Amino acid sequence: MIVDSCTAAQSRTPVALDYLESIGVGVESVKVVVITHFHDDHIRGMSAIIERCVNARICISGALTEQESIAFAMAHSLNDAFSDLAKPSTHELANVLRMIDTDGGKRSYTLVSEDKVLHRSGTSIVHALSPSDRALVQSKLKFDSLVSDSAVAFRKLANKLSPNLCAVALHICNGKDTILLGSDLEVSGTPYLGWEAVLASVSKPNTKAALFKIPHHGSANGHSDDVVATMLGVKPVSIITTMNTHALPKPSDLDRVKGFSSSVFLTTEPLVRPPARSRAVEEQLKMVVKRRRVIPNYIGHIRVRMLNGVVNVELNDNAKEAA
Amino acid sequence: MAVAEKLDAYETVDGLPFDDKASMVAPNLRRGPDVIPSREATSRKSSTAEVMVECVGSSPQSGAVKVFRPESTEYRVSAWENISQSWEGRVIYNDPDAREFVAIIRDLTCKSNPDEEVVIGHESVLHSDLDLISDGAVFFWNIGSCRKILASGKLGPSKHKYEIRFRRLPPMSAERLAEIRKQSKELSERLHGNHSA
Repeated sequence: MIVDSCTAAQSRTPVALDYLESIGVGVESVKVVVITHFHDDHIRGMSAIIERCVNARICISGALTEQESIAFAMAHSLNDAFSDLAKPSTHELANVLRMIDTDGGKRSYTLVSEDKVLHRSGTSIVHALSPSDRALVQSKLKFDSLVSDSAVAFRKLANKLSPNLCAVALHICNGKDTILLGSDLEVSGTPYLGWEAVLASVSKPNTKAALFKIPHHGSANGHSDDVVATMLGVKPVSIITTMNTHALPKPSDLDRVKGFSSSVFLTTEPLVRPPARSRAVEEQLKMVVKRRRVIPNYIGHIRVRMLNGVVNVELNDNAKEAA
Repeated sequence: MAVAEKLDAYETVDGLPFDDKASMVAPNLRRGPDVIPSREATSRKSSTAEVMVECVGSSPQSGAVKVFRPESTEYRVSAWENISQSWEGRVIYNDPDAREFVAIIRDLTCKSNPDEEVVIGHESVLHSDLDLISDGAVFFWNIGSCRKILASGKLGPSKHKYEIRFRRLPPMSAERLAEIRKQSKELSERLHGNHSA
């Protein structure tokens, strides 16, 4: 199973495909591909994965297949007058939807919403915990409003929906070990949306996770004390993908996660020196830019293998354990 | 002789008389008064929609046609002398409270350089562009040298300068939007009609 996709900054190859090749797993073995939501850092390269993994069922958030969200993706992927830097997320989403449609039902796919079983094999079950029905309705209204804005305001690249209440969180259990993948699902402040809706569900699986992919890069709006108390085992292993744009996780976020985890692992970024430019250009840069970093062409890898409660974690040079 | 026959005779459009060239472009255009031949370009202030045509030579039929665009009525303060560095950027996060935005910039001057993520204050953006700063907005950023255009029309000394200009991309047309809505409705119906759980 492949959940979401990303590529290194200047590469077009999805990291997931590179990884499978590195461990000698053929793409024809992939049975499920899950698209949890359409943010750049979760969907970039997904159309290449779907093209290669020909035997996989495509599980896509129901929030992305309504008329309004499809119109939003199309309206922000016109490929005409202006250059879209790095082909943002809506291009991938539009491509994915066209690929599912073009195959005319030959590709199996599931429109994901809360409490759907996405895959079952022996004692292993992959269970979608979100989005809730009301989140689907809310996203339709938001997407429709954004599409209408395209006709009256100066065009720009796609906005993200905020807060993200439509991401697909996954509960994966093999009969003995349980993983909770939090995607970018956030808390909403209402019982019918986000993590609150997950907690309120009476049909969600009840095994507790020993491994937790922390939602929304460790931010406070992705955290729920009730999720920690009722859906996680005692002192799970936690994984955080950093988001440098928003400086996530903040030190306070990291402290909070360390408080309920046995260990915390993060993807990090190496320091890359910016290219040398003329003195005049560098002086002007300093006048304008408050902070600056080069976007590296490296991806942090955290590999977790778990069997009968025993967890083995391997990191590449661009990941670390939080002290 | 018809225009097509003349074209065969001359073998090139350039050799055709002015009237024949014009009729190829605008067949329904009626010929107006003859243009007074003159070697001096007459200039007058005009709207941007008007274009003045001067016929070079002794008569309109002699061949070359020079087209003069009207002078811009906009008063230019300075002109770029040399642009040494250009980036194209897109805003990925705008913080109006902190009056700064985060952007990814792509080096247009040396395309092999990696992208960079920068934080820029609103004070570095032209006042006329402030309203355009929002997530997803696209801008150009040039650094180079420029010269002021003095009141006398002469150029002042060269100075280093930067300029961040946001792109004003026209909204989508109503027709295009209607087409997108139609296509998305059809696609959604197919996806939901055929989906397998």
